[in-house]
Amino acid sequence: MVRLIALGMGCLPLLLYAQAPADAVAGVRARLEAHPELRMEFVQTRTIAGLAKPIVTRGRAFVWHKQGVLWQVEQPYRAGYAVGQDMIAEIAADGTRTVRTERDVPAAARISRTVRAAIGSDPATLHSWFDTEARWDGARWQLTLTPRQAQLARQLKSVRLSGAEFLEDVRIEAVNGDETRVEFRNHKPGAPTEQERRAFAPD
Amino acid sequence: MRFARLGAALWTAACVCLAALCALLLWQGAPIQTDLLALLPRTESNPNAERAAAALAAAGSNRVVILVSHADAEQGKAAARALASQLRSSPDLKNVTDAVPPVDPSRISSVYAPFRFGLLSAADRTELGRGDVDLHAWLVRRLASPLRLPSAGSLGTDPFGLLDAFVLDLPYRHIRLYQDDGLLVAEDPQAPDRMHVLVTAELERSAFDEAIQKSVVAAVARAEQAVQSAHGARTLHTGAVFYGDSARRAAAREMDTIGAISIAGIVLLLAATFHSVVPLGLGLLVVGIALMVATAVALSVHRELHLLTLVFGASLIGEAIDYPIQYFAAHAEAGARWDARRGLRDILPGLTLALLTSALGYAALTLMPFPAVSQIALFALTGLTAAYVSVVLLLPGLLARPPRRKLVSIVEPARRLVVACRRRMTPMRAVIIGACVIALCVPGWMQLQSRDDVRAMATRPPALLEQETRIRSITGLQASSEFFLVEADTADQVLQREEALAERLRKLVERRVLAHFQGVSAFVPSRQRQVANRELIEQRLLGSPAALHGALDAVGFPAGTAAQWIDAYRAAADRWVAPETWLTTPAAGAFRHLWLGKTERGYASIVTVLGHAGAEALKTAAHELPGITFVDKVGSVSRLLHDYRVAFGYGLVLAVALALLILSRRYRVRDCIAIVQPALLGVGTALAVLGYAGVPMTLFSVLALLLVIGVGSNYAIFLVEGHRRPGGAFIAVLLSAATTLLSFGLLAFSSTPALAGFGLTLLIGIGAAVLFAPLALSATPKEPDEPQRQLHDVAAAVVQE
Repeated sequence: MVRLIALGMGCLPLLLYAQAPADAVAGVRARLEAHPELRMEFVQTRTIAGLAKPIVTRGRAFVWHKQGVLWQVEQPYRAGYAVGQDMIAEIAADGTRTVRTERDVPAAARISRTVRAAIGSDPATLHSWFDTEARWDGARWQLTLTPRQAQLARQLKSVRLSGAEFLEDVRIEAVNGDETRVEFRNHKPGAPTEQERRAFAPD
Repeated sequence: MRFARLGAALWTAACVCLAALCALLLWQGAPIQTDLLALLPRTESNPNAERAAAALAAAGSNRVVILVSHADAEQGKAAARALASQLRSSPDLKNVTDAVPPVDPSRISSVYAPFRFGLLSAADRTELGRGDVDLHAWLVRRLASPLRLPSAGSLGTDPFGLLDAFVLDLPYRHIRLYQDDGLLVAEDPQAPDRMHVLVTAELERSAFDEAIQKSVVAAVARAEQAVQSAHGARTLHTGAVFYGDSARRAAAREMDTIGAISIAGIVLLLAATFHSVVPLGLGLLVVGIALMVATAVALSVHRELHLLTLVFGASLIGEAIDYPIQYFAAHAEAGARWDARRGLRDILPGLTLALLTSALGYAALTLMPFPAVSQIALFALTGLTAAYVSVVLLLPGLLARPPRRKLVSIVEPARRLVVACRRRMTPMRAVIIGACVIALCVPGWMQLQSRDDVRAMATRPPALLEQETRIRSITGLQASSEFFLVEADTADQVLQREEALAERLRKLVERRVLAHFQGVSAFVPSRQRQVANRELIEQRLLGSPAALHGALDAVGFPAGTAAQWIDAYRAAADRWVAPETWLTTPAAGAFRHLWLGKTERGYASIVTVLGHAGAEALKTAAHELPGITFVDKVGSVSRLLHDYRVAFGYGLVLAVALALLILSRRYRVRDCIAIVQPALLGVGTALAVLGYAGVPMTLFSVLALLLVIGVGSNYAIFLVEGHRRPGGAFIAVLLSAATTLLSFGLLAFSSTPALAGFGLTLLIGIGAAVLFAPLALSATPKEPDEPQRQLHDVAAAVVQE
C-alpha cells in the first residue's frame, strides 16, 4: 500500500484525464484527447515541511496515451521515470533501467490500470478513488480531487489540476504539509522517438 | 464333533463381543478420515522439515477464503460486510475477517526507527557500496523524485530517507489486494464484476472433521445465498474444508452405490444358482461377520477409518463371499448324499490354500508405511480370515441338511465342460496358449507409462478448482507446499544463512525462474549485515561531517540537522533489531509463521517460494549452502510413491515365488506353475490393456496386480482341488469371479483416481485370470488320497473333532 501511494502520487498528473463529473469535464477531456501523443516541459517545485526552501526540478514529460507517461528530469540531476502499462522503470543518468513489472509490484499494475482506465475514459475506476469538483468557464478549467479512501486520505489532502487547451498546472498537497506544484509549458504534439519507445519496453 | 461345536460356540461368542465393540466404537461417532495428508507417510529425514511442512499445511488448510464480487464498489463492500456478519454467527468459524486494521506506514517505520542505522534497502546498499556518493545530488534526487511519498518518519531523523526506502522494500508487495474502507479489496476493470472483497475465516477444528465440514459448508452456502439475493453479489470460495467435504460426500455416495450394487448382484446370482434363499442368507451372514470383524479390528488399531478403507471395504464383500460359495456349491452338488463334515473336508484344502495365497498379498500391504494402505490391508486380512473361520466353524452346523433337490441342471453342463477341458489341456497346450497371450501383450507392455504424482491421485472437483484458480489470480494469494528450511545453532546464524540463500534466489527472480520468495531476513537483517550497513552509512554519508553539513544546508535542512543525525548514529551504536523484537510488532503481520525459532537442533526459519519454473533450479540454489534444506512435500511423497511402486513390482515377483512355495507342498513343480499361470497371464493382460489404453501405472495399480496374483490363483486352486466334483467347483469359481468382478469392477468407476486405477487393473486382471483358469486343469494334487497330511492338516483336525 505504501508503494501504491508512492506510485499514485507519481502518476497524479495523469489523473486529470479520468475525472469526468458528467458534462463539465466532457469538453476538457475532448480537448485533452485531441492529442494522444503530447510532449511538454515541466518545472516541479516541491515544498517539503521542515526544509527552508523548495526543491526545484526541470525537465520534459511525454504523455503517450497508448503506453503511459515518461517523466525526464534534466536539472539539477538527470533521471527518467517511465510509468507504463504493466511496469514502472527508473532510468538513471547513464541509461541503466531498473524495471519493476506487475510480477514484482502488483501495485504497479494497479497504477497502470488506472492510467489505462483514465486514457480510455473510464471515470468509474477513478471515481472510487476521489471526490471531484470541476469548474469550467468555456476557456479555462480546474479540477479538484479529494481522496475518498481513508488509506489515501491519511497521506494526501488534495490534487488540483488546471489548464485551458492543455494541462498547465498541477498542485498536490500532502497531509504533512508537503506541497508539489508542477507547471507545464511548451506543449507540442509529436510521435514518440525510438528512445522513448524503449523506455516502456518490459525488460 | 464336540470339538467342532465348541469351536462354533466360541466363534459365535467372539463375534457377538466384536459386534458389541464395533457398535460401541461406531456409537462414539464414526471417525472418518478424509485428509489426504493422513494418507501420506513421513518423507523427511529432518524432523524440523517434517514439522514445518505439517505446520504450513495446517495453517493453509485451516482457512476459508471467500471473495465477494460486484459490479458496483459500494454494493460489493456492503455485501462483504453482510456476509462476514452472517458467518460470525456460525459456531464453527472464528476470526471472521472482513475489516482489517489499516497498516499505517508510519507505524511500521516507528518499529524500525530505533534500529535505522543498521537498515538499508537492497538498492541503497548496492549504491552506497559502489563508492563515494555526491551527497547533494543524492539528496535532491531522493527528495524530488516523482515516486517519493511524504516521509513516514521525521525528515530530521532520516534526512536521506534510508529508512523509508527500507520499509518500502519489505516484501509485502506480492499481494494484489489493497485496503479500501478497512476492507481488503482487489479490482479488475476488465471483468463485469470489477470489485472483489476478501473475507476470510478460520475453522474451530480440523478441516477434515466431518461435523466441521458439514456445518461450515452449510453456513458458507447460506451466507453466500443471502448476499447473492440481497445484494446481487457473486461469490467464490476456497479452502481445504470444501475439498474435504466433497471428497467425503463422494466416498459416501460411492460406498452406497458400490455396496448396494455389489449386494444386489450377489443376491441375484446366489438365488438364481441355488434356487434357495438359505445359501443367500448364510452368505450374507458370513459377509456381515467379515465386515463387522474387519471394522472392529481396524477401528481398535487405527482409531479412525480412512474413507479409502470404507470404499475398499465395500468391495471386500466380493472376495469374502467366495468362501461360502465353495461350501454352497459342494452342498448343492452332493444332493441327498450330503454330509456336512465330509463336504467341508472336501473343500477345505482349496479354501485354506486360497486364504493363504490371498492373505499373502494383503499381509505384504500391511507393511506399507502409508497409514491408509496398511489400514486397508489389515481390514482385508481380518475380514477374509473372519469369513474363512465362519465358513469352517459355523456353516457345517447351519447347513447340515441335504438340499431338497440336486442341482443337476447347471452342474452337469459345467462338469462336462471341465472334464472336456481337462482331457484336452496338456501342459504343452497350456504353454502354447500362454505364449500366444504373451505375444499379444508385448506391444501393450511397450506402451506402458507410469505416474507417481500424488496430486493426480486425489479427487479435486473442477468447480472447486476453478474457484480456487480465480481467487488466486484475482488476489495474488498463493499457497505452496515447497519451502527452504534454514537451520543453524544461533538465531543470527539462521539469518546469515537465509541472506546467503536470498542472494541466490534474487538471481533466480531476475532470470524470471522464480516469481517471489519470503523470508524473515528481509524484515530482520542478520547482525553481520546490520553492522555492514552501519559501516556503509558511516563511510559514505558520515565520513566527512563538514560535507554532510554542507549538503544538508544547501538543500535547506535546518542548521544542526547534520550534528543531530551524527549524534543519533553514535547513540544507536548498540541497537540491533532481532527476530524476537520483530515478532512482537505489527510489522511481523502475516509473516510470523516464517520464523520457527528455537528447535531441538538449534534455531530455524523457513523461506517460502512462489511461482517457480521447476524445483530443480531451487534445489541447485540451495546447493552447498550450509544448513539449508529444500523441502518439497508433494515432490517427496511422489518420489516415495515411485520408490514403492518399483519395490512392489519386485514384491509381485516375491508373491509369485511365495505362492509357488506354498503350492509346492501339495503339487508337483510343473503343476504349481500351471496353477499360477492363469494369475500371471491375468497380470500380463492387465498391464497390456493399461498400456494400450494409455492409462498410466500408479502404485495403486501395482497393488491391484498383487491382489490379482492372490485372487487369481484362488480360482485355479478351486478348480484343481475340485477334481472330484468338477461341475460344482467350476460353478463356484464362476460365481466367485462374478461377485468379485461386480465389486472390484465398480471400483473402476470411483471418482478417486487412485481407486479407479486400482479397480480397473483388478477388473482386467481378475477377468483374464478367470478366463485362463482352465489352463490350470493340467495339474492334479500329488497324492489324491492323502490330502490331510498336507497343508490343511491343522484346519482339518479342527473339523474332525
